[in-house]
Amino acid sequence: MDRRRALVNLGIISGGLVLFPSCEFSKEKATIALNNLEINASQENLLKEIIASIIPNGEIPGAIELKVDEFVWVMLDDCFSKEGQQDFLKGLNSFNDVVDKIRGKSFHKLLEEERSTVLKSIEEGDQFDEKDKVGEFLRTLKQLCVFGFMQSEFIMTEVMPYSLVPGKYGTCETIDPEKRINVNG
Amino acid sequence: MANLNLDNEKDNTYDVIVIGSGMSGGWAAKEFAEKGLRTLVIERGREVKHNVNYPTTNLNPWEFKHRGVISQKLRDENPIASRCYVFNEDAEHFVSKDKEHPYVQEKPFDWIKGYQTGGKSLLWARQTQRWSQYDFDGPGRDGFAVEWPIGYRDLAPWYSYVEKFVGIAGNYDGLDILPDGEFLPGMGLNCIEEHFKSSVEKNYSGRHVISGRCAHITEYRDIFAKQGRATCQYRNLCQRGCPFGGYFSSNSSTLPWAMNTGNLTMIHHSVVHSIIYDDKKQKAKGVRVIDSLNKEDKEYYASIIFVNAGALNTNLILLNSTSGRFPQGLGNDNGLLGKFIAFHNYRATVSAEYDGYTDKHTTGREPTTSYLPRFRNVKKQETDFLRGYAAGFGARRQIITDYNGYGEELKENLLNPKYGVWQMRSHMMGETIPKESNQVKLDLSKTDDWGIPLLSIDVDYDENDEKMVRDYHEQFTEMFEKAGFSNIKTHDSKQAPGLDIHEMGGVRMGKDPKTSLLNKWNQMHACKNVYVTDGACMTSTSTQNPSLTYMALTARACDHAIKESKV
Ligand SMILES: Cc1cc2nc3c(=O)[nH]c(=O)nc-3n(C[C@H](O)[C@H](O)[C@H](O)COP(=O)(O)OP(=O)(O)OC[C@H]3O[C@@H](n4cnc5c(N)ncnc54)[C@H](O)[C@@H]3O)c2cc1C
Ligand code: SF4
Repeated sequence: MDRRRALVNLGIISGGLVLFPSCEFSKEKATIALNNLEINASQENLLKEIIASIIPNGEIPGAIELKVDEFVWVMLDDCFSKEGQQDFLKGLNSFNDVVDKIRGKSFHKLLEEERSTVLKSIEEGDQFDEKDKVGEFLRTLKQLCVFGFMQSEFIMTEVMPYSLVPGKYGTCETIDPEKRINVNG
Repeated sequence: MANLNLDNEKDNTYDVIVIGSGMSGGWAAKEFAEKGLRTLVIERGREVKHNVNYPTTNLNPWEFKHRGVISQKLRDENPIASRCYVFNEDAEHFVSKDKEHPYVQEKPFDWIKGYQTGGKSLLWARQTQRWSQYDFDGPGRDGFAVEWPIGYRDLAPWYSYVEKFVGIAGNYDGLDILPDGEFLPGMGLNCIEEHFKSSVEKNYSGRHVISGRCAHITEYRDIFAKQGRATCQYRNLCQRGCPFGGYFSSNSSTLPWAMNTGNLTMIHHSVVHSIIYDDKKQKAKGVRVIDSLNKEDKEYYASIIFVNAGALNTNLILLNSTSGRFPQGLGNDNGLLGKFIAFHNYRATVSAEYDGYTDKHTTGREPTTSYLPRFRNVKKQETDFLRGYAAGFGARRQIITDYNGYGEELKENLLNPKYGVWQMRSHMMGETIPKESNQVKLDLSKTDDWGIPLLSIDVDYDENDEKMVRDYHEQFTEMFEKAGFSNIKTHDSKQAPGLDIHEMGGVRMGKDPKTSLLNKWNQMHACKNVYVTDGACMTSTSTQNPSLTYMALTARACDHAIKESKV
């Protein structure tokens, strides 16, 4: 998408409240055009990194390859309450501090395996919730991520095919234990 | 000037005016247009043409920006509409928005509306069960409201007439408490539903489990082909409008049929303000309409007027139709207009699990549910509450996805779900007793965008409803236990009346003009050329999903109006 145009559109949609950034400054702006939230490129990149660790690429494409990060931003922007949005962004912004506290490094510098471990301990650790909302943020992100991944075109056509016209309802079919279970079947 | 007005009057004169193009209005349009009467249908909402204006019908889940989820803005702006289960990204455009039509809630009441061609017939769940004589006998036998002026025998041929055109899938169950109709092949029960059926029939007399009769075409008939409708493809996306015309809606069926006769004129964006009464001729002569876009006033005239605006809007129009002869609203000599509103009690559910049939599952999607007809107090009074409830229910094989872990572990988990137990869920459909205190009125201090007073709704549950909820919970728990189900859980949503979307009454039928507003032909006692055949006419509610009955009553009343206009 043409970034400049997207930014202009954003200005119009939000009643011209967004100040148009200068050209140099636009580097810092996120590439995704949202209707309500203003986010910057570092938030966008960090979220991408976390999402890539939640559902990584592999034989079956990962969440980033399926553009789930864009979906997460759109959902946050359109379908969350103001409070929910604030908590999410707060958690995202404190994320690296918390990772640093646990591991002594930022998320970026961790190996793949370390990332999974650190995410697990954040998900389970309520101690990060009260002030910086990191636990809550991660649990929400994971849900959105799973939702966007499972409802992506790739999964719904190649892995667990969804059919708009599925044919007659089978009332009592015998399960083939060899077949992958299709949640969209 | 005078001539201009006369020309106007001539241009705006029809044989029949039908107010509202929904489930019941569509039937009036079809019947009159088919019989050669010049018919005007007046619809307040926008035009939704079959197949042309179904913007989401062929979208895949991933093609929805929010994968079906409603935006926070829409949710915030529409707390009432949001409570309706079809208010999702794929069909919210067919549900009227809260602020478009405000009303006053004396007590909480969720009024769900669909203002467009076809009304709520686009959105309905298509359940179509006939009433039996036991249902019509209710008020007379149990001493509430007033006696119905008609019985099953009056309506049976009209049920058949409507069913043949609509297309109803169902099995011939041979039950006197839920008469069979003109059925196409039924959709069938799955293994657990069959299991439950045999358990119920073994353990109880008078209780039956059937496949819910529903307005889906399951077999070819010429009459459906002539309507341009094909057999249902089991997409189960009906609320978006069906490209096959597989389920019945006014949009896919009655309205295009009426249009093809050349006798139908349909106008949209036209809010009926009131019915005009002619004091000299002592009958209604037409309707006053406000253009919803430019707010201009217009009048249309006809010798027969059918009011099919949906139960509560029909009450509103009649209450607002005041004249020297009827200062309290059209036909309202006895002051009962707007009173004895009733609905269906949909508050309660019971869920359970079943650990058998582990090697079985269902495939595809099922657009109907299973049904358990009313068994309480059907043939005589048996409990400490009046009347009873029917129940819809369904079973499905649970699929469990493990959301644990991160990275490869999570991905493995997501892509390899496992079967869980069978899950069963039943919901109650309770009859409520029409009472004078459950009523709607005009709030003259507040008006909508078109200067029409707001409807003030004062409707609530009563002790009878509470007892019925408890009994439903107890009985379904027991039936589930006897079927070997486990983890049985009862739930009472406490949802407000209205969310059942089966609001009825206010302009009830009856034998006596002193205690009712309509006669046995749905004609106003005091203004014979006005007919009410939507839910407003209902004397009592029984437990069946009501629309099939509205359609049959409408066809029957049209037949009467046509015969009467010829004498
Ligand atoms: C989600 C859902 C599920 C349902 N499931 C079932 C079911 O399974 N079985 C069943 O029997 N019923 C079901 N119903 C209820 C069913 O849809 C209604 O009973 C039926 O549509 C009522 O028909 P009607 O003609 O009275 O009103 P509607 O279909 O609502 O039509 C009324 C029409 O009148 C128009 N109108 C209103 N006021 C005015 C005015 N002042 N001037 C001009 N036009 C006006 C409206 O815009 C509308 O088009 C369901 C409803 C919903 C929403
Ligand atoms: S279930 Fe049948 S009627 Fe409903 S959308 Fe699908 S094909 Fe059409």
